[in-house]
Amino acid sequence: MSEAEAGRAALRRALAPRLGRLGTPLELIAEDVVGEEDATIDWIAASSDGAAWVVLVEPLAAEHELLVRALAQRAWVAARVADWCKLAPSLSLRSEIEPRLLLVAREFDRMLRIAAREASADPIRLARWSGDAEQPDLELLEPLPRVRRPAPALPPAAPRALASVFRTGLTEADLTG
Amino acid sequence: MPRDLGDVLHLFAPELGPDVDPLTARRPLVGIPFARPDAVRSALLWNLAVEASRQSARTALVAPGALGGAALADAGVLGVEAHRVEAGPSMLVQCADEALRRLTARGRGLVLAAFPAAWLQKGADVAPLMGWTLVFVRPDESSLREAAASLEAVASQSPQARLGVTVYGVRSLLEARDCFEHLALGLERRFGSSLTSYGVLVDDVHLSRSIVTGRPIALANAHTPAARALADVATLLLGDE
Repeated sequence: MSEAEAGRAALRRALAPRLGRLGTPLELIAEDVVGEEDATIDWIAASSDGAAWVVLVEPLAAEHELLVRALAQRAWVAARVADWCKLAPSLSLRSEIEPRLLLVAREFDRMLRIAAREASADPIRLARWSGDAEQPDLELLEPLPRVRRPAPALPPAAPRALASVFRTGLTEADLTG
Repeated sequence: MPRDLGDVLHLFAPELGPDVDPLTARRPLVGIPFARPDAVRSALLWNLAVEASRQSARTALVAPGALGGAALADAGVLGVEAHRVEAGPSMLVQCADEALRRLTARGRGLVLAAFPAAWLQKGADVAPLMGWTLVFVRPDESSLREAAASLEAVASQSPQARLGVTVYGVRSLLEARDCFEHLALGLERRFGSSLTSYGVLVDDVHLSRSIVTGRPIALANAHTPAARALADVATLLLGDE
């Protein structure tokens, strides 16, 4: 096992018990699941409301590709939750709830955070880890606030509706130049 | 036997009989009331006539000598006919009618007939000039008042008349639009008549130079805003023939 792989394994071991402390208690129900395109899902978990969770870990700063992968894996899981419920009713998963995503990485850039917020009605959770990989601190990032669009300006009051229409082929530059 | 075009024209085109009402017939004769002699407006009018001619319309400028100023004395540029009429309204109308017949017999023509706004009170005397009336207006109170008075005089006597406005002496298009809409609003409210916009003319150093040198802007300063403005207004006028 390479040093990187060893570091990643250590990080995952340390993260596993901490995932449920991010505000939503999570029960890990599967690890290293081979999902879409034979890519690995680090964990599939369940929350108390029956939602399935797809958890992906990136030891370094998250690339934008992580988000693409997460969305694909969520679709893969969503297509299978109903079957899993039949095969293992004890999992208490609810297939009618769209699976949720939790991405863990050392850092998330602004673009990715905005994309995570906008990708679905239920924002994708982003957790940043810091400190020692074997004893990481885990922090759930709040979704970036949306910049409020200015309210569309009301059309100017039209106290006079003229049938006559002003015409000219000139521009302001013709008069000011 | 050879025949003149006039002998057979009625076979191809509708003919205006003597009973045609000049107020409702669409004739390319534009009556332009001037509240008072004004060298700038005269120069704009002369330059406009030259530009219309440049745009392939045989053009005549008809005006009382008192209104014409120096600019109207110069004729012949690009074939523009200039007629100074020293007598009263009847003679001016007759001169304009003759010019119109002469010019349009050979194709596309346009007659611009300037006359004192006071003549609008003489009713029938200048009625043939009211069918298509164009007022030049600046965005100052007295000019707007004079323009409104002229337009209302025409609208009250000739509800079918085409009423138009060309704005000049403005610093922005917004100012020009406000000026136009101010007049249009009054006209629509009081008479239910709509006002046609015939653009904006630029009153700048090129115009002054054209007055002094007697050379029209379209030829001397063809690429200036003043020339573009004249071309725009001429196009609008000829487009409404």
